[in-house]
Amino acid sequence: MLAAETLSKRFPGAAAPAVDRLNLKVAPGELFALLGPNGAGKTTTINCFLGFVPADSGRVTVDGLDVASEPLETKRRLAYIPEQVNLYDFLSGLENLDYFSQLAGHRYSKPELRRLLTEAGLQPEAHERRVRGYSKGMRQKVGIAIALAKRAKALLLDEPTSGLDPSASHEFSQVLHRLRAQNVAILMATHDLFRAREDANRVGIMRQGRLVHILSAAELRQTDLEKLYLEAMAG
Amino acid sequence: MRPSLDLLCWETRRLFRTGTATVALGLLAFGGLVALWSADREIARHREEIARLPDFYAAQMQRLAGQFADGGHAGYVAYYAFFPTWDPPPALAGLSVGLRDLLPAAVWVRLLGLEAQLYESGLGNPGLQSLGPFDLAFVVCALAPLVLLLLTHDLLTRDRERGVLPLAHVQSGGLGRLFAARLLVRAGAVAAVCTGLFVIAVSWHRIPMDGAALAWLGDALLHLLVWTAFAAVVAAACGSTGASLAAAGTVWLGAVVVLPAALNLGLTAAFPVPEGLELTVRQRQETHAGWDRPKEETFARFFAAYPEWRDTPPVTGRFAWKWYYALQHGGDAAVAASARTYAANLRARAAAAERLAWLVPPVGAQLLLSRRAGTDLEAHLEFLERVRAFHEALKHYFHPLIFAEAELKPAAWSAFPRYQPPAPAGSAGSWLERLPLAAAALGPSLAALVLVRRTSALPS
Amino acid sequence: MSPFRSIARTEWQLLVRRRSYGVLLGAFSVVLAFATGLGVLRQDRELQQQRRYQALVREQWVGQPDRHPHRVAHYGTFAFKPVGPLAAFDPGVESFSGRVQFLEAHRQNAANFAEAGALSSAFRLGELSPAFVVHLLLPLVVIVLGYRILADDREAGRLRLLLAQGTPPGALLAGKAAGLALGLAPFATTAAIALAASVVLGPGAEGAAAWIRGGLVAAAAGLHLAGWLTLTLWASARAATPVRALGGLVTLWAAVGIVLPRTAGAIAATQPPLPGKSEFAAQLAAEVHRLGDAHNPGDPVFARLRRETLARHGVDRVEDLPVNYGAIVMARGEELTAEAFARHFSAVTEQMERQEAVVHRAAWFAPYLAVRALSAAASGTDLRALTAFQRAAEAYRFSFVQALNALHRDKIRFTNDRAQRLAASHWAAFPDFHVRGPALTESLAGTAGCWAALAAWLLAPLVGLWRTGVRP
Repeated sequence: MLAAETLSKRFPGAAAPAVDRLNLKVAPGELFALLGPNGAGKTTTINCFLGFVPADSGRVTVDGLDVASEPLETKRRLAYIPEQVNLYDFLSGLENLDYFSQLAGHRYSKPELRRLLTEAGLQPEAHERRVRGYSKGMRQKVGIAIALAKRAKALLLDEPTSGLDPSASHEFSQVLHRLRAQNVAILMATHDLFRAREDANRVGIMRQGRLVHILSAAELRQTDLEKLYLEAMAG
Repeated sequence: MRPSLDLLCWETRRLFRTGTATVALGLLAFGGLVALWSADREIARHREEIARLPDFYAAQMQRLAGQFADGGHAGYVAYYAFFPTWDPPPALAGLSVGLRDLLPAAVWVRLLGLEAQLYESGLGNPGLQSLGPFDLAFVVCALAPLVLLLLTHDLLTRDRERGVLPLAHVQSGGLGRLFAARLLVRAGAVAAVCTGLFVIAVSWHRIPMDGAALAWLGDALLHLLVWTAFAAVVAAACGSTGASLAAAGTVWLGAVVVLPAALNLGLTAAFPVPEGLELTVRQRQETHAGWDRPKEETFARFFAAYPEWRDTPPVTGRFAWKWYYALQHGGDAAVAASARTYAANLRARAAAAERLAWLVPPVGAQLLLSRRAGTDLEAHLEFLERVRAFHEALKHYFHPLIFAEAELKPAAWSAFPRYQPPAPAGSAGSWLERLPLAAAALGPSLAALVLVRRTSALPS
Repeated sequence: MSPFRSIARTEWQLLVRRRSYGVLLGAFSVVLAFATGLGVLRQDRELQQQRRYQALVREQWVGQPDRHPHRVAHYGTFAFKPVGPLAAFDPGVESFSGRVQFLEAHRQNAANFAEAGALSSAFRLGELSPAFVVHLLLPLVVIVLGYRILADDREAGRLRLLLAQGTPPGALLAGKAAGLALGLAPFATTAAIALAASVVLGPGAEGAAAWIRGGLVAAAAGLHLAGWLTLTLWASARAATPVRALGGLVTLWAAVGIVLPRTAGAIAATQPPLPGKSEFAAQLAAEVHRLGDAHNPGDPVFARLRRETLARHGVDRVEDLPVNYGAIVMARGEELTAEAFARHFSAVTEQMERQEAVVHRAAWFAPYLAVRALSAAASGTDLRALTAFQRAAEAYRFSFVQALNALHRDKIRFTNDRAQRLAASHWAAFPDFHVRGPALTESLAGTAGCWAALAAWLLAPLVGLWRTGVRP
């Protein structure tokens, strides 16, 4: 569903490429966790899938469509949750969800919107309140609802659980499980080794723009992920 | 609150590290130079016109000499002879043009009724005049405050937003000192640019560095002090750069653009001066009605003002020059009260403006600066008084000749009175005049002090 | 609902839900209402005063006793500059020009009593007319309401989310622009009401032409504001943070609204400088003297006039003429003076127009100058309207003085000329001074450059937006 083929990207003025000949495939129903330190190229990779950053060389495809030539079509098949979900403070959670869904071309009734928010874990009494007063976790949940509402075939997550408390983090992984069951392909950049190990089918470790390790689910169960990660960083 | 020298040096370096400050101060300096040039051109126009007055007068007299080669009645010659009076631009006029670009630099008068000759507009392009003059006073009153606010509004908010404020707070040993140092450096930079422009102007326009010039600079800096206090309030009171920028913009827009213009409009509506028109129409009516009136009446009015001619022989014929000038005097005398009301109303309007000016510091400062420079309304009204005095001198010269029915040959014309303007001088003014502006600085200063104290007490 | 519509709607909601929105709208309306009210009041007062004096002056003219016609020519009359059709909205140069001119024989007096000359020097910062509020302050409102429109989304990271939803960038920009425009609609409506009020209540406006003029002012202002709206959108799309967008836009506003106009004015004043008033008068006097000197018996112009007049009537002495020769000399002199004056006056007005052209060229850099010029032209209060009045006043002066000279020639005997009088019944036959303001087409002649400058200020940011696109 998501595929990068020898993807490279170097930002102007940078000494080293941000992404270096990266090959990556995420199948429907699969969750691929991308690990790596800050600056390893995780976010750039996600930006390439979103079409926000044009690739220098290589190809990025979503559902077989080239991101560079079909920027709008590919976005239609993607949902995205950033690390920090920022919404319109002066609109309620419900209005934000409604607005972002309309932009994606979906029209939901109010009960449907409420159901989506509840499904994302937002307590019903918060639905009509302005986002201004929301906690980070609550905003994140609206972000999840926006992603759910899009009914996308693939989901891009950029450190979605950073800063969330453990129970919110747990709820989030429940949602991810459900989405996987609906055959959504998920690419998740994260620092959270624990969640990666729990939720992912496969884990990739990035360093200086390159995927240095890919572990399958079976391998994951047998390895000490932290040790492997630290070894990878040491080079 | 007292910042150390080290802190000041450090903040100065920090200020010029950012491009914004350099660009803003550079633009202010550039605008100032354009303003100096523009005002210099305007004032030079006046000087050139005044310098050529003797030539114009000589050319006129030469023409008349052709007409009166064989001599002519003193009254007849006086009918044609216009005499220049002029208001030489004071030394500081190139700093604040004031009303000089709107009003004539020279007024030509002849022995006829004066009131019809006094109020002509100068020859200017109203399309350009409506754009407003560009002089150093404008730079100090309008542009410098803008630059000052742009440089200072985010003294604290930017650091707060970047999260460095707690660190800076702890490191500098008190927010108050940090705040004071930053404010001082920025206000100092703006004041330095303005002072630099003043120094350039002084050497460029060859302005003598006397009390008036120093007082002008002092008033300009006092105005900047008011704005420094405003800026301190804005910087201390606002929580975010967005808010401080909005507050700074609002304060500037209100004080420099909206309020002065509103005040102007309000005062124009509150103090109409229709006497101008009234006076011209009445004077014409009076003067011409005299032709259809018994001559004794005209003379009676004339003798009331000039009793020395009371015992001269009466006019029996249809026309005599002494009667003609008595008639002209009658026209002036009939509207003397209107003329006084006109000037008084103008002065009342100016006084009302001055009373309100301390509410709007840029207005107060503009008034003060143009008064220092001797280019305000009062200066013009005083010039008109001098023109009146000269007209009186013309009468004293010509009346004996006219009453003697003298014939004047061109050779005798060199004895005609000439206008002698007093040496133009700006005034250093009194401390009392500056009180409103100083008061305007005090209020916000105190407010800023309290706000900074409170901010310092809170964890940021 | 299409993305465009939901973006526009949401953007509008966000705008009007801000606390500052109501405050801004309130403040704007109050300032504009104040300016309009006093503008109407002032022009109305001006018109009343003019009407009163015009009636008085006419009454005085008609009520003159039996007089010698040349006495009447010196008695003269007054011409009042009519209040421009939309002067209540945009007074243009009206405050800076005298509005009453004394008309008499032999002399072309300058207009007297310019409002601005009677002002205190503190107020050269600007005249608070409705036009000033709409042309100079409303763009600032556009900036304040609009600077965050994209920059805020970018800074907060929402723009990534918006784009990731698959919103076409074009729809996003258009939607944001439409939302901002919707938010500005109440301001524009207020401005339109002020303009309409000036048309309805303003003393100078009459008939359908005034509405067309109002429409032109509205078109110029709309184009100008559309330019600022696009510019704001562009700055917001480009700037790293909203505060930077605001800082940049406000600096630009101050530069093109305050500094550049004055700089342009200062430069224009030297292109080339106008002669001083004394110089103008001296040159005119010298020219009149050169053309013909009635006082000089040997002057060729008047010698020929004498020869021809005597020949036409077949007599040898002026005393034998059936007409008054003194009046003929006077009429010829008046002709020469008027001709010389017309030439010199044209030279000065042409010079003023050249200076104005420099300002109009500067409008390419400062759209405020363009909208200002268009607004004053459409309001009938620009320099052109002023010179049109001055020319009309001079033409009227010339015609009544020559009519009086004709009466003098035909009805007053040459001998003992000055002792004679003409019956008072003659005076009422003279028409009163009436000048119509410039026709619409005249007002608009030569404004194409300003329209083009405004269009360029709309196009430039559009091209910029198209090139920049929306960066996340």
